[in-house]
Amino acid sequence: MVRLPYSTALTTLFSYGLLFAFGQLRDLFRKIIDWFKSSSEDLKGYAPICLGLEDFYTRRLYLRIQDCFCRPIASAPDAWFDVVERYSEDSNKTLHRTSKTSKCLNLGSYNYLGFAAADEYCTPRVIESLKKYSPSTCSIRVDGGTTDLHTELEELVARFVGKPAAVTFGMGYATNSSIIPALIGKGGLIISDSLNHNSIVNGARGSGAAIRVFQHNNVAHLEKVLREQIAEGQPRTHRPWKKIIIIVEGIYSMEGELCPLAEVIAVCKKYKAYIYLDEAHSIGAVGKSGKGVCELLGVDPADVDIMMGTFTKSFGSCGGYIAASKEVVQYLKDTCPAHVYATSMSPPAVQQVISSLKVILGEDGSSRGSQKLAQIRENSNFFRCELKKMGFEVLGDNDSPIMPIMLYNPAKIPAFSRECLKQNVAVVMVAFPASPLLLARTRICISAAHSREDLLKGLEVISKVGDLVGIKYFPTEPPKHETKVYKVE
Amino acid sequence: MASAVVNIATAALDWVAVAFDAPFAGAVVFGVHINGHLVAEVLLIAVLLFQLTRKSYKPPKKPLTEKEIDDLCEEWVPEPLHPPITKEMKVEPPTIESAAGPHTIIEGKEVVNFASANYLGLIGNENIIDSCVASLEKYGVGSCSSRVFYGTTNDHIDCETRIAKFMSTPDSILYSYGISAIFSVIPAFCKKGDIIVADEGVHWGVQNGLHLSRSTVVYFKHNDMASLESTLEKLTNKKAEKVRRYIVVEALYQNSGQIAPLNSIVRLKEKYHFRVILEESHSFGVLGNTGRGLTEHYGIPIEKIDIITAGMGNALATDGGFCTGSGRVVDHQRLNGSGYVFSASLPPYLANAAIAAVNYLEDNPSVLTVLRRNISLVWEVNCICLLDITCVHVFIIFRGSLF
Repeated sequence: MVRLPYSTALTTLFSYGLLFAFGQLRDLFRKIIDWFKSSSEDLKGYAPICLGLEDFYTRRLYLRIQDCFCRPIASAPDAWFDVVERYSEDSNKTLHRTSKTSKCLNLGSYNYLGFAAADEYCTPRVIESLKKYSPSTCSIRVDGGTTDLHTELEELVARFVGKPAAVTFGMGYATNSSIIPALIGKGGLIISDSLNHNSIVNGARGSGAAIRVFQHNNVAHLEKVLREQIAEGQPRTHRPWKKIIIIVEGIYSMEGELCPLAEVIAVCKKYKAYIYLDEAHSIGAVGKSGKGVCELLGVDPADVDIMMGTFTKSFGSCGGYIAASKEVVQYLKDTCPAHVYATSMSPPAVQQVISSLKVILGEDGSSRGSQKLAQIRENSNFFRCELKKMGFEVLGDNDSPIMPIMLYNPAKIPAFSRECLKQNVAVVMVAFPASPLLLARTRICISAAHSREDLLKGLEVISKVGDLVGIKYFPTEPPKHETKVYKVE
Repeated sequence: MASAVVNIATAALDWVAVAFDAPFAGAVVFGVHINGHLVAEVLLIAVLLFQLTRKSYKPPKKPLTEKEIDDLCEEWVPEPLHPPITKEMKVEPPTIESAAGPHTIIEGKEVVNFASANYLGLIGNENIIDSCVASLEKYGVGSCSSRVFYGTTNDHIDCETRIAKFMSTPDSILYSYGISAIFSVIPAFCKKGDIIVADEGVHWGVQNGLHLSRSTVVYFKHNDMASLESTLEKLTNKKAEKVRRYIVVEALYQNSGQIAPLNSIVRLKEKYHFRVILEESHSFGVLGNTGRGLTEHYGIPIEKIDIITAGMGNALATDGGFCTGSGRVVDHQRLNGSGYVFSASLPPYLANAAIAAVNYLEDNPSVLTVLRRNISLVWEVNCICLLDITCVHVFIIFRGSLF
């Protein structure tokens, strides 16, 4: 839960107001200057391609701090990587790369199990499959795009997740936005968490079903919405809903919170709704053997109707999957547009997932998988604990490798980012529109590849920069060895 | 009986006469003669006032009780998650056991592959594979992040610059999946209230983008310029300056194999002030003397087309997609293209493969001559080919003019 002090809220609103006012003033000058200059003949008779209001945020706010985003890197996104230095000659409107790089600690990439860089088990096999199958199949899955690697991957994913069958796609975003329309259509109801990812929102809109939102992680509100909706039926006609699907995520990427899965499933079973679980960030990263939130929260995978996940985060590859019962998977293979119209997943990427799954399951003959899983859990809990002790406002639950630190004020976003980069720590800033306007934050992603020294260095730099920028909103816990000694007189 | 009624009536009339002859009845107030109707009016006003003081009747609101809601919830029966599985759904596609090149292996047998969109034969190309191996050893497989958060490598920026140079446009933007390029681009530029005129035969990706944009979409008959002109004529009105208007067409239609007549489309676009969004997934690397797509095929300067998108999973034998256009068009997508911002970036080795493929295409334009020769060979024969691959029959029908 975010606890925003009144003084911070006021200063944040004031800052945004000031930025908005300045932006409007500059737009006014721009309009006056453009009025004097004649508009070119080509654009006469056309409405402008980007209306003034739509990219006001881009032009007047985002461009000022553009150097904090889209930083190019020159090496693999491992625990340490090379960030390319950039310079600008026109106050951040355009940025140019230099050939200089600086080695920075990576606290921003989704590299939960450390498979991002070349791995001793995975990479040789990936290169072998690249030479055998080429970088792409150039075909859709149903027309010559299914290789034996794809079939092997689907069986392995189904076994790993604990469901009877699975189907894989080339992109995680496209998985959500094309599966949801295949499962539900007009006359159905989707109840989704208020903080669900953009791909789920797009999929829900594309399906044509009615959409209702329940408060984030609030199971009581979910039950209330369900009861109301079943009792009322479809809007205007009051016919009963054809089916109801509840969509939640395992770990929410901007909050780092887990979803109360056991309670949500209890509610779904009571009211006969179907549940769709998006485990993009939790598969492979949480749970004793990396099997995701179901394992962590002690939920039977058979209770979840559809489990979705991506291979980008914990497996160091690309693509997404859906695991469900055999019939649902057969139906999806026949109707889902991402399966029937889009190019199949690249074979080397498929091999990377197969190899990393084998490492996690211990089927490569070593214990690296369980070591990595233990490492990430230990790293996450240690880092979160230390940050909280320092007085930062950290969101998220224990065991989750994502920890957002609240900043609030817009000026702290570039300040924090640039100061950290000067001290060779690369962090990620989350501002509007990925998070609400007043709740800007920086998001730390911990990896199994981080050693204890890396984490300590990161903590030291964040603490220093936090003092400089002023984001320690809570009182610091005094270190244990400084307890006062009372002299007995 | 009748006399009693008459008596009552006369008595009533006498009373009315008395009322009308009453002293106040003949009075003059403020110079106005008041006659007997004063009584009637006072009575009417008294009745009105009486009614106004009565409460109006509203049917009582009876919200459902908890028990009733419980009963409704128990009675409700949802449809099953999937419809009954038919025989067609159980059919598994053939699994290939080698690269999807011109010859591939299915169940141990070597077959000729007419199903892959490997137009330039780049599957198995040594240069591409070598550059991918170098990239894999350097970057690993995935980029593990979105473009906005450290998912941008030097290779991505180089790939965008290379494609822009090849197409002679200011800049281009890379998407991580071919089909996501078009369904991110359309909602980024078309909002509620805008007008889109699209061809009937566009593929699913374009249709999804049109649906997500929430604009007014009007379809015209597939590849029919007369139908397009009449649709544009109907939609022209004085509000052109305020409302954005687009024509969305594919260069080479995935579903029908026909080529869009770009010269007519550009002429109509300039006449009616529409912008053009051109989907070049199957024509990039195929049409034109050097493979630069439909604009080169018709000899039209590329500045006339506002937005060009293409998937790289066909001619370029890699994965992902790109969009190119003016600087403003590309910059806008860096924050507003949902498939760019909310998704992980393209794996670096695929970006490298794209650069190697474009280099190959630029250095070897003769590969297009070979492609055209093969196409014309099949077109001359003009047949319906039946290929037997295990138990699956693959129909390939070549039709429509390609020149």
